[in-house]
Amino acid sequence: MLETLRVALTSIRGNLFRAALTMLGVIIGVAAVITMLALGTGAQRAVEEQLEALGANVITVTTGMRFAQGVAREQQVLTTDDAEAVRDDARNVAAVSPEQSSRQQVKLGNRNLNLSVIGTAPQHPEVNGYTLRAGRMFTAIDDASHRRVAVLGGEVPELLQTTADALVGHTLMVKAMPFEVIGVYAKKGAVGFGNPDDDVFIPISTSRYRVTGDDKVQSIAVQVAPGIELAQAMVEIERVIRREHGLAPGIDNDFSVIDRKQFLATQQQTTQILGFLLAGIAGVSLIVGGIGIMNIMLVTVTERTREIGIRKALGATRLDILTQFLVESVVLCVLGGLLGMLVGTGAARALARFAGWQTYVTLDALALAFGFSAAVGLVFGLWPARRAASLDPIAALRYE
Amino acid sequence: MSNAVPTEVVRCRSVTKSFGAGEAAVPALRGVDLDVRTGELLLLVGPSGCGKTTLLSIVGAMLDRDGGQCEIMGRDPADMGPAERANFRGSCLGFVFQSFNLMPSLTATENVAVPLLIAGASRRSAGARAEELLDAVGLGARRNALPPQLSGGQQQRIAIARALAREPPLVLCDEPTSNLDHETGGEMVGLLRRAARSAGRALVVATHDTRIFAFADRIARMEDGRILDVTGASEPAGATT
Repeated sequence: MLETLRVALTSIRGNLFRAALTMLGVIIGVAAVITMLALGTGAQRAVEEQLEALGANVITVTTGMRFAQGVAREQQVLTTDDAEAVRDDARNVAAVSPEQSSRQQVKLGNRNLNLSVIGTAPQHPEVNGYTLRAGRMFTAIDDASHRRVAVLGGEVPELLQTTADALVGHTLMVKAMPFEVIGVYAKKGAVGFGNPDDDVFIPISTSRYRVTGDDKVQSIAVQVAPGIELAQAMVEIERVIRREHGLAPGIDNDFSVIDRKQFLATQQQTTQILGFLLAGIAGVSLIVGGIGIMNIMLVTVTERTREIGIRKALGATRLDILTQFLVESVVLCVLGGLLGMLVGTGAARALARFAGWQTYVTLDALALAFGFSAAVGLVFGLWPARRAASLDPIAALRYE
Repeated sequence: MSNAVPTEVVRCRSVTKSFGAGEAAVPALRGVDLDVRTGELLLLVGPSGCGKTTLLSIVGAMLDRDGGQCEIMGRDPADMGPAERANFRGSCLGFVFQSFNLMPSLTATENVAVPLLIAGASRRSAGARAEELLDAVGLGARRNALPPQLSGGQQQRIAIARALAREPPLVLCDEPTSNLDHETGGEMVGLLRRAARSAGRALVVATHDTRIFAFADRIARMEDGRILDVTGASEPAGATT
């Protein structure tokens, strides 16, 4: 086998440029698989980190869906009044944090960005598992006064080309209005394809009266009091909001009440499936690379027909010839796989660095991609190898 | 010179072979009888298309015959499976081809070592044996040269060394001198004859090159798929070359 391997490497070295082009399909395929798996794993880990950061006692109320002309449309029925009602009337509730989101122009000096501006309550960090790395969170007084103060997501200082400490106390223009930066959150990392580190957080009342002009909210996060069953709290919240919305018994909710952990676990499952789906799609490119390998191996067999005839005349069996070409195909794919692993790992790191997405290359992913590339070499090299092995030695010796 | 009774290395009786089928079938061999003895150099001579190469291919266990019997070293290749036949070729037969059939990307040493490596020898021992053979054929100084860097005569010497690598009892040569000039062709046959004599090996050379007739122990004339006659001594000639 060592000699067969040596012959394969000699053959590959003999036409290095062609070998490199042949491997390109495998390199790209493996790199794509590694990158997609890294994205999927990164997204899962981000959700896991969120789960860890959350207490076991957070419920989310979101808007419901209605169907119009066969299309599901989100309906903006949750309001700040609902949040206040839950806070004041629902039993067993420790904290309430609504979120009103809008996209606005944010300016600092000559740096201009379009960011998500989230109007929320002072309890936002406790309920959602955020910590401050500079400054302070806005208070109930700030909220009641509709003060123009802002707490920035962890990456906003970098987007504005400055530092967190340098920003605290400075003025940002949000929708052409001056806001004082009073705090900066520590980075939380992207969740799926969203990134809360790019958001700007302002008091909900400020958002309502000065930025959006309406009282609609996209979600209300509710922290349940310790020792209370989530299911019990969910029933209570549902009761209060149904009352606020005037929903009679028997009418469906126009909102959803979700156990946050369950929601995130579902999201994790979805992310995992999505990750595998992406990897599967990337795997198609590996199959295409394998077809390229097969094509080139067929050409190689034709080019080396006479050599095959000589080896057969000198005593090589069909198995010897089959093994020789199969090993060559596997070696090409394995080399391509190794290079693809390097490229894929680099691409995953580049995505993390430049796009801010969380990626994670696991040993399992590397082993899977490597094993798959070897399998591609075996599967797509088999036909050319069999063709070589079945050549008639006399016809092969006469081949020009 | 050995006084022992010569042994038959090849024994063919009424061998037939046709190519194509039905009315388009072309008979290449029409009932050939042939014996080859240990240590002799037998020439198969005749015009192109008379069946020399076909007969060599059948004796060389590379082509199936249609009829008749053929035994090489007492064994019939038709009774062997493909793997057994390949092993038989590798261990009992050597081949020298008209167009040398060397592998252009391998050095002289590596080309000669190929049959040894196929047989499972280590790279070191195969290389040592190959260098020994190259010295024997006068190419010790060119052991690292690639075939395209060598003359026709030198390439054929490498091919001869390769054919002798596993010390086969029978070497089959198909027009080994046709691509060589007169002097070089003579040298080749002399080399083969010495190889035959020194190891009691039989050589069958298919040729229509009359320049090498003088080297033969026997000459079998072929025409139209038949052996017309076999001339020469009934015992192998003396040891001198």
